[in-house]
Amino acid sequence: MSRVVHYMNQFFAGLGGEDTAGTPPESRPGPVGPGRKLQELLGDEHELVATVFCGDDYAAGEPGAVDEIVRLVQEAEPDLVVAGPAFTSGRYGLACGRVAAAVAKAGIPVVASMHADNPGLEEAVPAPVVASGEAARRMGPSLETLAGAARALLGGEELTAENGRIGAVPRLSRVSDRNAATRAVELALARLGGDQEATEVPLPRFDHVAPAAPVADPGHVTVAILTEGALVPDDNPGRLESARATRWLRYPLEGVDALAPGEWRSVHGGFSTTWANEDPHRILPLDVARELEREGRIGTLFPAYLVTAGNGTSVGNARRFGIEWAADLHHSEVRAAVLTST
Amino acid sequence: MSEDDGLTRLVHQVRSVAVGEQTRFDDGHLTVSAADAAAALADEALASTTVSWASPGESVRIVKVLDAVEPRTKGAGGGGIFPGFVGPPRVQGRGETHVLRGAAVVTAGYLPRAQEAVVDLSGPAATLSPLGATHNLVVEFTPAEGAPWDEVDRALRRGVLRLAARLAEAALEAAPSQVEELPSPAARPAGDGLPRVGAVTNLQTQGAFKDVFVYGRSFGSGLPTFLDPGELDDGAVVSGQYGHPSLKNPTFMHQNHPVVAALRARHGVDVSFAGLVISPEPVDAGQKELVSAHAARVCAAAGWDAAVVTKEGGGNADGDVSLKMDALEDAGIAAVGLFAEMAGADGTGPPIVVPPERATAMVSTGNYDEHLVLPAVERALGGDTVALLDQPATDELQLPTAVVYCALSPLGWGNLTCAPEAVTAQ
Amino acid sequence: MGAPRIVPTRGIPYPAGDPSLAPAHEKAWRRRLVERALEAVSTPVKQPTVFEVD
Repeated sequence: MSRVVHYMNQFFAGLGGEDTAGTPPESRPGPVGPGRKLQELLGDEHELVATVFCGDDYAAGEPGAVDEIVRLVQEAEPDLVVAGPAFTSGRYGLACGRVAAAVAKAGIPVVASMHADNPGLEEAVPAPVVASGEAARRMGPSLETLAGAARALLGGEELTAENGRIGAVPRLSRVSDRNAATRAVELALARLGGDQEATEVPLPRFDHVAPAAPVADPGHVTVAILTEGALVPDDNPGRLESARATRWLRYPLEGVDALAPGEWRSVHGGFSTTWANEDPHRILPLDVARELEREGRIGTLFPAYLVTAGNGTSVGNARRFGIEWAADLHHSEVRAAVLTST
Repeated sequence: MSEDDGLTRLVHQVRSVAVGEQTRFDDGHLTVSAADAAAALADEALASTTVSWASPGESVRIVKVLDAVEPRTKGAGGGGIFPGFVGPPRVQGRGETHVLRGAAVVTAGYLPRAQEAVVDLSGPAATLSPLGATHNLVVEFTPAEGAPWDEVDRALRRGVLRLAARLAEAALEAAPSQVEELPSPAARPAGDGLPRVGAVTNLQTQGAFKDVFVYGRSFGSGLPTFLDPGELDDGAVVSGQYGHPSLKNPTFMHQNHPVVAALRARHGVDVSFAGLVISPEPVDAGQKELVSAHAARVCAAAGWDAAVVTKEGGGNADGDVSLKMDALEDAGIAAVGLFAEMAGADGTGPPIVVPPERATAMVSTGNYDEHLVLPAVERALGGDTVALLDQPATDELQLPTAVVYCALSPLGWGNLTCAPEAVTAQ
Repeated sequence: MGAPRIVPTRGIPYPAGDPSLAPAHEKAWRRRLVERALEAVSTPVKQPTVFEVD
């Protein structure tokens, strides 16, 4: 019978919400909260022997937290560790990802569960991650996927996309029994034989973005200016990160015709911000946008701008920001946007 | 096979080596005389040279590896071998060529723009380089004071080719271990219904220390052209390129072209070997596109059904392979490209810098960034330190696969590939 | 990497600027960039399209 240990956060362990997010890690014997359903799905051959939980703030913010958690996990002598499901919860996802990565590096088999857009996905490498639903109301199906992956791993199978695997799958060097030249000739023959898909290296898939229909006349609509150049008020009140941003912010432009140097700065970590700080319009072209608005070339300039830092942003986060910006602007009836990209 | 039909390789297997009084080859034992070596290598641009053997299984590491050449000759004095360097620049690839298989002449030492390159003769890295399995006559050198580096480079190249020919000469009277007949590819379909498959070989042509020579001349401004594969055997293509060690095609590799060998091995079985096209790798984007389109036309004119495209170099060279693959596919020729993957140390980065847009069939020659630990060794040739790590060359070294000579062989010599990490709970 | 409408600019640290120009000229350059962007959003495109400013 295999021993499984389950990592979760304070909320799913039943301690409470934000008020208990600072809880240090603890271990309890047996399944807790959603772990009970997970045990059912795992069946009789696998015993969920312990649950380790930790407050999201503690796990994500306290130095050494992940080590503490891994120690508690190891004490329970697991054959497999499962973490989550974290859904789209950012801090929980980060915690799951980091715990899973640390457990994997400690040589213990592990699988985490979270939504494909969770920023914690990248943190989990080299541990595998399977997809969960977006929110806790999708717990049932998410646990089914997680249990399926757990059983597959314990059964000695590989985890693939069919098990719900998401995230970057590391490609590692392997030794083949034939040299590359021979494999190339074989691939040529396969292709001549009609197999147009065969390849050893999958082509990268970048999202196809369907272009929006054009605006007939920008002079009749609301236009927004946006930036990923991390231009923020000088004291960075929203604490935008300089790299690997996990958030975006909105700042008002109502009644603002120009950006005075000294009142704004770029916190982007990917380039020298001297020029931006000398003249913030080099990042956010408010001055000329206002001119064009006065001249009727822009109907109305949206009275705020959206900003993030496009430096080492994970594809998952960037995708999420884009979706959220579109929703935010659409809700405000913005019909066109100009984004400065650095 | 008649004179016009192809090349005959008279292969002499080298089983053991030594430095001795005379250069001789006796029943598999190859002796080189230091005096003969010095004479072959002598040049104004070189103050001195030394030769020493590094053999498979020994606790030896060669660092700052430059070029490697397989000892071959077509007769006394060279007989035309290495046209443009040792022999006069005339077409070759016919008649008989003597090969000392299992040996290589290897230059090692500092040249500008040369990247640190390592070969181990034992341990985990030995199987990653073809030189891990050959008896290597390592030529170390001291440049003459005031000699310009490009003259030093030229002197080494000529000297090593002369030395390689000189060594092979010792076997001229010996009975070969094997005789290999290499027919020339047919110009027209043989009517046997087999697909015509050829090799398109991109040669790096970026000027000093990053150049490849055909008939003794830089191929930089050339257009893609046919080359009889037998010419490769006779050293018509010589490497002067010292970057990207794992992605190098030394002269040795052109002499033993793996894609040509793979096609020859199945000629008449399930393919008809259609031949070889060589192409420069221009730096300029417009020139890259022109050369790629031209190469596709050349292959189409020769009635090829499929092509295996190879490169030399890093990400820039990926572009040349990808453009050619797309141009070939557009011309109705199935294209396969060989690529090393630069997926990062944990294997999760985007693997190919410039992938093809329409073609899709890619062979992986391994992960450039994957880490290796090379054990400490007793002896090192080519230099005292590994510049990359600022460590003594005999130390235990932690290096990416990128530094091992030919480990990701773009001509397809190696058995490395990449596969998605298998995740199990075992 | 998929953006349908792109106006190329002169430098990563100053996407809407050009510090090599005198301030008035730099502002004029910035204005041309935004005007081109407005043209771009008024133009139908099927795939990633670059709208240069000369």
